[in-house]
Amino acid sequence: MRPIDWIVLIGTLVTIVAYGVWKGRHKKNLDGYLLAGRQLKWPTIALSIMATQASAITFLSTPGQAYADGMRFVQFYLGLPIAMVILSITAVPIYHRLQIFTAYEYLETRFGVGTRTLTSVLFLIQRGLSTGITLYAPALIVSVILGWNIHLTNVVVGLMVVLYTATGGTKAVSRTQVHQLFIALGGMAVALIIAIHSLPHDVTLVEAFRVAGRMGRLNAIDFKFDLKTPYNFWSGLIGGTFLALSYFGTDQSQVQRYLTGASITESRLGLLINGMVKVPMQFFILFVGAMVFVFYQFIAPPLFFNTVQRAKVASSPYAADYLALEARHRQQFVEKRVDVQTLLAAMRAHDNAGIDTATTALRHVQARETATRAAAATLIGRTQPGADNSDTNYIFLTFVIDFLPAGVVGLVLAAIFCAAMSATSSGLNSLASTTVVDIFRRLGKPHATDAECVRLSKLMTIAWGVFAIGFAEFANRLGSLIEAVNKLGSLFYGTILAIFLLAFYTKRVSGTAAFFGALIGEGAVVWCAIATDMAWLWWNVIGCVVGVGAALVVQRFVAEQTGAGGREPEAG
Amino acid sequence: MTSERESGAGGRESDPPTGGQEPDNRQPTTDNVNWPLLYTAVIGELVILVLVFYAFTKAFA
Repeated sequence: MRPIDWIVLIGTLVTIVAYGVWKGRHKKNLDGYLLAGRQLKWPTIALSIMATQASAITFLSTPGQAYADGMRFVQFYLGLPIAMVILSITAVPIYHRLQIFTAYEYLETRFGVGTRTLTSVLFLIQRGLSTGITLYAPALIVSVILGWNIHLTNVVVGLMVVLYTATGGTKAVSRTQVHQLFIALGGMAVALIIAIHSLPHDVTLVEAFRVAGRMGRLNAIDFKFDLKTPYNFWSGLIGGTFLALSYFGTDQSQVQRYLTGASITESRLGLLINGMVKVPMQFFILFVGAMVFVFYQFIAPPLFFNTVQRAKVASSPYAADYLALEARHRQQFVEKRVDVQTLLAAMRAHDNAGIDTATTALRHVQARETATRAAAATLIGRTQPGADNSDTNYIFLTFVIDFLPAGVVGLVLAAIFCAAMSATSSGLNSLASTTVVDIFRRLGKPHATDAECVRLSKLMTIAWGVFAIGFAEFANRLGSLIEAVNKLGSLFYGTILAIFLLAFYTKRVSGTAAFFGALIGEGAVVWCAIATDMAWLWWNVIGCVVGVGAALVVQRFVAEQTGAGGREPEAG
Repeated sequence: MTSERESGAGGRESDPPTGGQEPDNRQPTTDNVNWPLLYTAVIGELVILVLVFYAFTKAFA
């Protein structure tokens, strides 16, 4: 990192934190602190929703995903626009009408306090861990590639987020997210432009596309139905809809964003704009990764992108084996570059037979190179049992550090940390809200004053911040982080969605039946995760369908008076 | 453009924050958004994106 990079990075982050503190400086009641006084307009809501979902993991891991596996990950987002429409029609009017602080408050009006508390606790577990991963991801990657101290990075970034989130509440979170998202996307756009400009001068953009496509990196849509394939059109559309319904409709970190809307219209528009922009945005981020892949067809990439693991294996008894793999990888790169040039020549000559021959040769050497990289990963796993032997998360930042000019490196790093801060701040904000509103005020001190609740919300933001920093200190070996965080969510989202669907659409299911249905649904998800090789997007469908089905069956056998909507006796 | 009536407190642009109060369902909000058209636009855009992505996949495969 050069001085100009440090100036850009520190200047950007300090400005964002100061802006957040300044924006949230006014004294507030609980409504003002947790929901920004319910006064936000749709542009802020839409950008805040997008920034909450787009963490540093999105900007670091997603391009690496495209590099290693192509663009098919974009299908993961296909259900999102459908979910935005469904939620705009169903959940938004209900939440607004009830004037609630958290999504889980609504469950009590329908099922009673037991189901509300169960769902709140599931959320706190899942979101608490996810927020830790969100904080940990950029610190880990930057520590590996730039040699920064991971613990110090975790603590510094974590404390910056806690500072403006605790002092300013939701208003500070939402206002800063708007700027953070623009910085993050701006950084990615600059990286894309430089990746394309760094290609050999005789390679046109269309030729770069065709090389990437021939090597399977522009595989955005796959209509083949296969339950074991993680990303295809069907898993994205069906599993993705369930996941997005649960994430945006029942996860307080998102619900809180659109509860800040000045009206139902503002909240709906915020969700719908997110539905229209999110898929192209993810396509763009994956496309950056595909172009980085093309770039590395002309410039030799390292065998393994994680420099720390590389150094460790080089000083281990397996050093000679690793050196042999590196030599093989270099040879394969030379072969591949020749094949790429042959393919380009055939394309320029419009020689279809030559294109097919060169493509076959290229795919063959690509397969051998992939095998060599897998062998290196296995060797690293053998050298350090338990170590993270996936380098997907390190690909994009390695490219940034090695090939981007001074100043731009600082900008991209600022973009990544802005993304980390925006997602973390939403997480902490929602964890504090749920802890105070659904646990403390509901079960502990129902008559707590607004001032007490605001004070406790600030303390809880700090406490969850400390938890996230602590978890980040211990997290490791999570493979592709973008998958890890979504897999973790998918363990719970289907079940939580089942509870909300029962609440929205059934009249006779009681709280007890919903409670046991949720437990059975969660059991089914855990069984799928442990005992089957079902792709994780389908866990959302299983949790929801089994949860709803089990609740309906249990309802038939539960001998209780459902009364008005099956409410449980009031507690607390 | 048709308008859709929405009910519930907090539904009016000019409403002050009313956290903790009972919702007022007697004063519905009107807006100038044609919601069915907007929902169709969101789903329509998704269909177009899938087709474009599929064409993109096939064109460069």
